[in-house]
Amino acid sequence: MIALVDCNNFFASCERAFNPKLKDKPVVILSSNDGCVISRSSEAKKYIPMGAPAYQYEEEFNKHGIAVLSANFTLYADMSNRINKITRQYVADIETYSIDESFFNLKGIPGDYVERCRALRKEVLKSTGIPVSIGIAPTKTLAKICNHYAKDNKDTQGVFLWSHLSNKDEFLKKLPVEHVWNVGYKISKRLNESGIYNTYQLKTADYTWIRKAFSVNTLRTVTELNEIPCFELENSNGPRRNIMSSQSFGKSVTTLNELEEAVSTYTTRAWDKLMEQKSACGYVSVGIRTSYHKDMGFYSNYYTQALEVSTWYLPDLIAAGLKALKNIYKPGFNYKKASVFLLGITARDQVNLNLLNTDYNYKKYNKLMSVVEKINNENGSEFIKYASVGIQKKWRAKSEKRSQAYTTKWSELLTIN
Amino acid sequence: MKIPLFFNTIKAGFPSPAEDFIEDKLNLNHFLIEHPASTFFVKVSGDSMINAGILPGSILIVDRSLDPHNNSTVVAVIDSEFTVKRLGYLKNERYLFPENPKYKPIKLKDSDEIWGVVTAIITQL
Repeated sequence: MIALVDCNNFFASCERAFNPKLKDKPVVILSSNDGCVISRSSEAKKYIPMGAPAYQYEEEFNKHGIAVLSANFTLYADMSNRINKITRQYVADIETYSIDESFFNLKGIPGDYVERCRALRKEVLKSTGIPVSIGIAPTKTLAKICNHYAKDNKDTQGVFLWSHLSNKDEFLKKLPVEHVWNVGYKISKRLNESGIYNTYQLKTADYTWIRKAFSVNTLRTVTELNEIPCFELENSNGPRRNIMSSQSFGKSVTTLNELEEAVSTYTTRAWDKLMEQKSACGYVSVGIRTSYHKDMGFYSNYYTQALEVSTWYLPDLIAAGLKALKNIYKPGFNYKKASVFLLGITARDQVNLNLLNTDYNYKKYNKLMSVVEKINNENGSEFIKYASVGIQKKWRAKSEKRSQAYTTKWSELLTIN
Repeated sequence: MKIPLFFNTIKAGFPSPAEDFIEDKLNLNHFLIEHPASTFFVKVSGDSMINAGILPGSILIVDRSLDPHNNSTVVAVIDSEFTVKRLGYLKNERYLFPENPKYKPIKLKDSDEIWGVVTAIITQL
């Protein structure tokens, strides 16, 4: 049996855990740069669509007394880790699927599944203040459906088991195919064109036709709807094969100097993740683009710079990033976004020593990087940094309504009377 | 040819008799935090708990997973505001008691919430 634990309106719930004034009030969270709505409390859902651009909805925000907050990803990541930690006390086999969702295997868990999951739900709520819903089913796809059912029906007390559904086929007939996990916009559109609108139709569709007209993945989804597991739990603890750091700027950026600061900063952020999983990388790829408003002149380009040897030595990664940037930078444009990708990621013991670079001093560089990592882990990111990341960072994304880093910064603790 | 000034790997004399007894250094996190996933730090601004050793500027370690008992020091939410007080009973009703004669006990309403239990106070001198 597979369970999916999913935090309800996660970002808004995190904010509420530290700000009781937001309780029972409509709350929306804006993406970086306060661009668009990325999370809504249940009270806000009837007024504001997901992804709504903030500047178009200011009147609605005011009219309905909606609390508007900038995303506080530091807080959300910390709360997510806490919830994961609690879940791991209940189950061993767990896949962290996203910041607010985890699949886990209930095989071998003693006692009644629903009771166990209710206990987990209760503990997460008490310990963190975050409400979660749990769906339990023979497959991931059905667990996802049960999760939605648990969320939508209060009498489930947040936990729902597939086999407790009295008339499964009738239920699936009312569920549009686009609501099924892994059935995206494109696939659902094509299914509709073939006369398949509801999930019962998809479940009973001809396997051979699905395989031919769509893909093996869609066939897996259909098989999972028939209660046969096809998507295994994935070990999310494995190293990532590529690492990205990307963010749009708080203002238009025109000079190479500011872009260099941004690229250095994003490279450093990506390097943090590289260090965390103890990998080396072989390439640094940099992308820049202007805003999509065509009247201001559109330009977008990227360049991948190979490193002389696979490494995790930050100065070499930054140098490669800046070299890539110089290759694509064109003056006279208003740049809106930069992205840095680390590619060719390998385990450090698999690094192929380039014969021309036998004197590449891994030992020394490793020592330095480990010290930098340790100091920043203890004191906060960029506590020590390479000068090219800049100090003022005028291009930095706007997040004017961000709450405090309640759980990660001594200077931003919750203050109480 | 360079000659190192010291051969600091060569030790003279007797080995330290304490060498075999070295243990890990004291770790305040391990000492003060039993449940890291449910433990939060909050900073105090008021003086209502002064006689319990909670001063303005003190940092409280709060465990949300614990059940509050009679006389637990708790962080509570009263009318959407956080406050730290001692939980107690008066004629079978739940009250929050300040530890400063300047303030009065507060009767808990159904809408009020116990947010967590204070397990330690950090006050820098």
